[in-house]
Amino acid sequence: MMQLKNQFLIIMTLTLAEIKSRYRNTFIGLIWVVLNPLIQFSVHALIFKFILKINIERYYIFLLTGLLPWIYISQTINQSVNCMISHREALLSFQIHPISIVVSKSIDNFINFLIPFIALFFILLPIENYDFQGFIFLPVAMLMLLVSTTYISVLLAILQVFFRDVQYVMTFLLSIMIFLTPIFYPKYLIPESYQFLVDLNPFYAFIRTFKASLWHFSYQDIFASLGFSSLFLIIIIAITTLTWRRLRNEFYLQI
Amino acid sequence: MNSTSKSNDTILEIKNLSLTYNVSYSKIGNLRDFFIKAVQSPLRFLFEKPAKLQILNNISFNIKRGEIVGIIGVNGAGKTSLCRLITGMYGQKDEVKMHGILRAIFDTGTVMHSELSGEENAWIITNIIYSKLPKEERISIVEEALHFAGLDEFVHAPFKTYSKGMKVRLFLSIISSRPCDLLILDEVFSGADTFFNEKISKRIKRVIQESGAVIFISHEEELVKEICNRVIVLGDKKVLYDGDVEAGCKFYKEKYSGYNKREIQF
Repeated sequence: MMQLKNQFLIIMTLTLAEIKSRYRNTFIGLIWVVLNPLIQFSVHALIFKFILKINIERYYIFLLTGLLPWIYISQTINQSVNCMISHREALLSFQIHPISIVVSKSIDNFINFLIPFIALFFILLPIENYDFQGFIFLPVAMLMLLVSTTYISVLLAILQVFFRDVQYVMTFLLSIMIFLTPIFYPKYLIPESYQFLVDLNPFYAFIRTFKASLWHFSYQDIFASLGFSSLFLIIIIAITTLTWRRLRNEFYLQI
Repeated sequence: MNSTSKSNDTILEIKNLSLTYNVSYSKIGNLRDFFIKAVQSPLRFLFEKPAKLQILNNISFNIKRGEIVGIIGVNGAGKTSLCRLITGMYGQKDEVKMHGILRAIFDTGTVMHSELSGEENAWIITNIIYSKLPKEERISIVEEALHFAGLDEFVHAPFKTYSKGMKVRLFLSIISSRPCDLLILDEVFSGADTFFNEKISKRIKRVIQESGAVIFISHEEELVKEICNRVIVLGDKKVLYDGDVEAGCKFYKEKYSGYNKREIQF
């Protein structure tokens, strides 16, 4: 228990440092937190709504509920993959658990994700006949997103220490996954015989909960997505834990 | 048996401790080498056991309260690996039993965030090293260390603008703030000769005296002789010598007198 409290203090310290140093020496500072997703959203909305004229009701909400979690996932992974190596000196000289560095990166990004998400709430308020029932499932969806993304990032960061290819693979994999994951198009547009492939995509499982609770609420969809999410979560936690146990002995040798 | 009194004066117990690294990760090299190896001798490739590198073999020793133990050995003898094992960086080991609070420093002048100011970095380091202490105590550590380091107007400047000497000064001021049950100092004085002043050196020696027990790694014979009251010589994966400082240093020099001069540096 005492140990947990210490770890918590260390993680919070690192997270705060992360937040403080991220926008130090930038001109508009914290505005980037909102500006970055806003620009990405505008570009996607422009292309799919006005150029490709995709016909989906409440498309802006559909897009936001997919894009915001995705930005969190991809940014966290991108920033975490190399972070154990870039903090090498500190890891070698203090008793910091290497994983706490990744966790602090993830929490920092999660806070950045929450801010535009609260803005989304104000967009939803004036909509007529909007079903707010789905909000009950939002905390679960967010918690699952946070935990799973953190575990994936930890796994990739550990593997990166041993195989420096990981960051190159992830850079290109993430740029492909934004197209292969139904973020700006709905799953039902995919030919039926290939839809099962989307269900195997862990990123989609976590994003789907957001879509099911905020865009088009249905209990059936929610429970299906929660089922898939829990399954992926267990698998990810198991793989990460086993990998860390196995590689821990050589970690300080390889870093 | 009165186990409580035993745990009171024995701070660290190490029994039959071994450390082996699996070095096949670094031996694999790249895909091309991997492929060539597989084609050249497929059988050996398939049945080859993973390459192991043994660092420590069956080491046992105890450290009691009041002991300042200097660990010496040639480069690569496993001094730092042993200390990392004790701190639990390799995971909890049953062979290592620690009674009390342990604090370990392996390098000085390390930065967490070079964009942040000296004061902010002082806070990060303090929270990491002294995470077990209450907040008021940590506040006083930071304030006192900043004052002691004498950084004055640089306190709010970004850490990246600090000279190496200033970084080491701030860092050493923080780590020498509070004593603990077992303090591990791994070459904290290294490279300090150019920047070091009497003031900080005195302060570190004081924290060494006040701590329950200390493990001190240094390549400088004079320092070991001055500070420690017990010496452990590591070599050939074992504890070669354990006991008196003068005799230990003599033993070490004689043992490695055949080696070239550079390698027997302390």
